[in-house]
Amino acid sequence: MIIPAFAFLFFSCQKKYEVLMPDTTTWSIFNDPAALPLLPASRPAMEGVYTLSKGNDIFGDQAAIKWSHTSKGSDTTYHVSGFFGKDIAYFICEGKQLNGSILFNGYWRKMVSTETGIVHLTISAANGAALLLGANPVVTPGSIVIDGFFGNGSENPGRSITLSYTRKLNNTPASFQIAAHRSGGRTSDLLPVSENSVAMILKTQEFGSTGVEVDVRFTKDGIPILYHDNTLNLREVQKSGLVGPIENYTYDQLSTFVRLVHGEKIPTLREALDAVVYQTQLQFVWLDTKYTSSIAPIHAIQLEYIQKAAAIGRQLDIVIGLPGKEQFNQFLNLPDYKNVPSLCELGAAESDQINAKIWAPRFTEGTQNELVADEHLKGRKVYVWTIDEPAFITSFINEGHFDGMLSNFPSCVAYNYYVHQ
Amino acid sequence: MAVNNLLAQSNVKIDSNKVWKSFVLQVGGGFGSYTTTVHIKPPALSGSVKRYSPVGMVRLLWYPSYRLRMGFETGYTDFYSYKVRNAGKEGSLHLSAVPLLFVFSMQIVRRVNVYAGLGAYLETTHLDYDGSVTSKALVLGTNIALSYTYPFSSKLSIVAEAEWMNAYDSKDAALNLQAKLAWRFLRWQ
Repeated sequence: MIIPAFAFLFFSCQKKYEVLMPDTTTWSIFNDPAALPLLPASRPAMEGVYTLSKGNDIFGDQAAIKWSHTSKGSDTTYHVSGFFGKDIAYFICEGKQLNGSILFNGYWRKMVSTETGIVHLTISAANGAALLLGANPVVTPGSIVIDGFFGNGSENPGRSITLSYTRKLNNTPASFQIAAHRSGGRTSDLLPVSENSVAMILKTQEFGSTGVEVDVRFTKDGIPILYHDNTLNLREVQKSGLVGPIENYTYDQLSTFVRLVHGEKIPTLREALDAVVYQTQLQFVWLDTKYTSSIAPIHAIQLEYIQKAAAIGRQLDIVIGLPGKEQFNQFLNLPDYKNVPSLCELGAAESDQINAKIWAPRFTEGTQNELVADEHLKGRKVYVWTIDEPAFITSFINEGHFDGMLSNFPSCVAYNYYVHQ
Repeated sequence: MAVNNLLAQSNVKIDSNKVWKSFVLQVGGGFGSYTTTVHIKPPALSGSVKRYSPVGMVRLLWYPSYRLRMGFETGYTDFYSYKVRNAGKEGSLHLSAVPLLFVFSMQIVRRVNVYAGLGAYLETTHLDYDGSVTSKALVLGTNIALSYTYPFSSKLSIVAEAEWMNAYDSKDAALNLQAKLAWRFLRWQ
């Protein structure tokens, strides 16, 4: 019995889950040369909470629709995202106008499964496009109706979806941060780009993020890079022949031999912050210190990029995250540490000791509303981490008084925050 | 009593000898071939992969009074190596492994045994590029093997074996062909 059991174990294959990104380039109307970019005022005007009258069996009854954009030089790319209440579903589309209508072309995905597919949406002139494409659009309940179709995989979309504008997106508290784990999302969640990559930083706003947590480690030659785990492993990188702790290798060695799961290089912290500052609208960066040596090199980079962001008029908070006692003690060695923007994962008392900008309790401590109120009185913000269970996300947003939430599913946090009343 | 009568009436020969129990040490070596895909990343790196290399193994087995034997296996295998050239720099990478496996074995026909093991592989990277690095990682893995044993005496045998090593955590696997000497160094009744 044992030999066959071992043979079964040896020869059996692990089920490989994958999400094949659907081909979204085939909608001929959207590719029409006469299709033009949307007007700048159209995008924010259509942001809001929508009610689903068709497709709600798949996506739930409500959606929060929000635009985001990234820039590269003078090129700006806009995406509209729809965040749904069922199964952590979302769609991400590009938008154009054609003959008085507004078209959206993209894909949908459920984060609880591998389900995905193409989505084609339209706002006809009579259903709100005329309003949105006019001067100073003012949107009222029912004035925008988005009609369209979605399908599975790369099949031609054939199932109906209809969304009607209901109300504006919630913005209370106004500075609430939807912080995405691992620079925007986990590789294991079968996203199209790798965790802790520049590509993920550029993508995460489409998932609803307003901030990112990045995992900082040092190479053997002292270059700060983004990488989560202790060791090089196939969960994070492609097979390269390099094994063991990432700190054993120089940056040049890693850059030459190692690629993240989707083919990206392991970025330096500077490359990551360059992307945040110059290519995104992200408002918050949490430098999670995954090492226990001196904080000083990270602090120097933190200051440099806070200044760079300010120089181009960006409001960007970059905080040094202190997950444990060792990092906390290293932080105390910084001169003037009380004025260094930091995020303390230890207790409220330690947050007081270093004058942390943010106190970040683990979600298992509960909402702790009284403690949170005390911290607010001290002028300190409170972010909770790391919540992935949709029911917890809903209850922490509805019942808690946090200023931010860290999650691997920013689209779920975005939905719950934006539809909250 | 009924069983003995039944056996007496049948053609089954009752072996009145006691069964020997023993410890057997197998030591050998041979040749290994890395069987899974090696992509040199990024593709811009030029180089060719060497997949064949000598291997060695040591296996200690306990032969109890019943058919299933068990023991421990270790050894050394080179999974693969390659040389690279990139932007004027040259270097080499070499990945080897030491299996650390609990193995089970059973004779399936006369002189033919199967083996199956579960445990870990201690993998080591030897990188010589922009400096020299030796880095190790322990990854989960299994093995499976088929052997033919030819006894010289009650204590010594020669064994031919085909073994597949599978470090599944790192998706590294190799097929090894080996000749071994098996020494029954301790036995008792």
